[in-house]
Amino acid sequence: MPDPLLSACVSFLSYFGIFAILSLSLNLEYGFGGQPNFGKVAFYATGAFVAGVVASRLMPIIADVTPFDPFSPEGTMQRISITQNNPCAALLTFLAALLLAALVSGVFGYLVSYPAIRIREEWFLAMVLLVTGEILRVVVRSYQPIVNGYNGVLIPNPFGWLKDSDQISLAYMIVILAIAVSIYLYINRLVNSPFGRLLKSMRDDQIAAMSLGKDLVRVRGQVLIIGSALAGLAGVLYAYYSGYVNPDDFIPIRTFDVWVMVVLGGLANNKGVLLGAVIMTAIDRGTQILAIQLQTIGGITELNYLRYIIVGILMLVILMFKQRGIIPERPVRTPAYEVVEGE
Amino acid sequence: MLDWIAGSLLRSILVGSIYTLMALGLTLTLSVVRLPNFAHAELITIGAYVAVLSSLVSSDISLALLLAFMVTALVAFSCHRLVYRPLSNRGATMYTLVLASFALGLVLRYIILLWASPTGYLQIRPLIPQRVIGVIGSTVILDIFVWSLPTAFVLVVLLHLLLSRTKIGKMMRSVANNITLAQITGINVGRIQDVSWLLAGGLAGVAGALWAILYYASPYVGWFALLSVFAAVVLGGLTSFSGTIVGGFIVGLSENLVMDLLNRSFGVEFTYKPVIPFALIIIVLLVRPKGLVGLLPRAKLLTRSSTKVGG
Repeated sequence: MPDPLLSACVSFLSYFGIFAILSLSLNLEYGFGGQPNFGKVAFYATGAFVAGVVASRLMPIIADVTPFDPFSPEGTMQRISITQNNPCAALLTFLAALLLAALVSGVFGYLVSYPAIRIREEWFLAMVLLVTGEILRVVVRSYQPIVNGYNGVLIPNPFGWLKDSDQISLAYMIVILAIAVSIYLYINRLVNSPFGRLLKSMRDDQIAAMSLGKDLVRVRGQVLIIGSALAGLAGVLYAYYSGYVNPDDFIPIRTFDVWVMVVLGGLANNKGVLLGAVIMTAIDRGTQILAIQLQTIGGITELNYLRYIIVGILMLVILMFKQRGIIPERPVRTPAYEVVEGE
Repeated sequence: MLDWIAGSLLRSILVGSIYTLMALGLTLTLSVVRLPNFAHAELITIGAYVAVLSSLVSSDISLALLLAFMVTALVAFSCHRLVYRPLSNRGATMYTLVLASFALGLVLRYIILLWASPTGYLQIRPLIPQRVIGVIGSTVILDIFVWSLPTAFVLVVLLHLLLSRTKIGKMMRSVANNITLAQITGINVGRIQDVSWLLAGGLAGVAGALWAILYYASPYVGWFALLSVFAAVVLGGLTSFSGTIVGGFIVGLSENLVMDLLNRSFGVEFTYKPVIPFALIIIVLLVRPKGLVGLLPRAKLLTRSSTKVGG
């Protein structure tokens, strides 16, 4: 049934999956670890750029054909024809992009934060990461050989070999949601492990954590590697979803969106963060669909701006009246607690 | 060879003095209120548009600057009273305030866009007549250069005198230095913060108006300038006023003179220009996180060792 409702649902769930991964990774970094990552977009973008590079360079090699110039129309046509005729190569390229993006983003996250995490004041880390995001965008959009500068590069969906477009987006949505669910389970396990408790101790009292012999610089580095790698995965998923890698998608407001999801839903509460992602997706998709609908009737282009005003006001309201989010952090219930409660 | 150096040096000083005005406001809120105010960008934009609107009525430049000062000071003051102060009273941490200022900036920016887009004000110059009085290298010298540079310069000097010679300036510095100690000595910290916001907003407005007169006004003007301004503040050591002044001029120089040099000698494209302030921030944070403070005489008196708030 190729009806608009179904495709709206598929697009909603796909965006939700991507937003959920981003916000869960920021929740791990800031909600649990107290590391203010104001450069989330840098790692999200890294993932997308890796996807662009892999799809344009590695794909012909995987499919074993002579590559054309990746940014020429012939190169684009070649990618599309490989995808349609060789499902194995298409899926392998996608898998390679995911693995490489996680690796590159993770390493990038560590390198960028290397100097800043050595300074006690986390404000420096926030500033360095924010600035890195913008440098990356400006450089990639100016330097042609990466993803064709500001022209961007087309990358075909890994399920491009399926018969009709509804099937393609449905299959891809399932992949996004599967990855999002496994990341959710992974982060839930992680924050309930000794590492998770270490993160919380770092967030709540650095001096106390250090006095117990914890190497906080190391922990900060680790949490930023994990968070950045996850954001890189989200970047690949987004790039393949939109079918197009464009450096100008990755403006600092994207970082702010992720912060809104985390703060809105509830810091250090993964369920709350998922709720935040749902709300954010609803605002994002809702205004988008409304804008397209209105444009076909009357032509009000300014509705896109309204989205940002809504998000900004939402953030201010939540900071003002419900600082701990809709679903606040829950106290940890250990087995010992249950024994005490039971008596 | 010499004429293009002279030309870009002139532009460097001009842009540098405007950056300094913008950065001084940011330093003021950063040190007195302890808030890295991202909405500072929108104060600059508002100043730029006030200059455009005032030029519709009269082409008097001093009127435009005065109006820009007053309107933006009021906007900054209301932001403080409506958003930042209530938040601080609820025990907000610095990151909460940063997020709030980012949100506030976003709301203001897109409200301006919402207004400017249908009215055709997306990229506009104030209707102030200008004359070309000379060309040095590739830099066209307009008559507004001749007075806007001294204006910016005089404002910087006035602010410096205000902070170093007057009683209210002394109070501001003491609040910046140690808020508890200032309170104990009987300084009305709330009032000092009000004054700082008025001043910071006004400075941003004047700088925005100057920018609009020299270049153009657009809803993104402040946002594009903000990271350069942050670079100036970081260079200056975050909370030092004299450091910020030097930082503003260094950023101005590196974005113009150094960029021109890189372009001529190494063929670096001008599209990379936005990287320069970012690179400066990263280098300063790597090499000398305290900025230029300590390299300058007396700068120690004006700084706080830490910018962290509460817990």
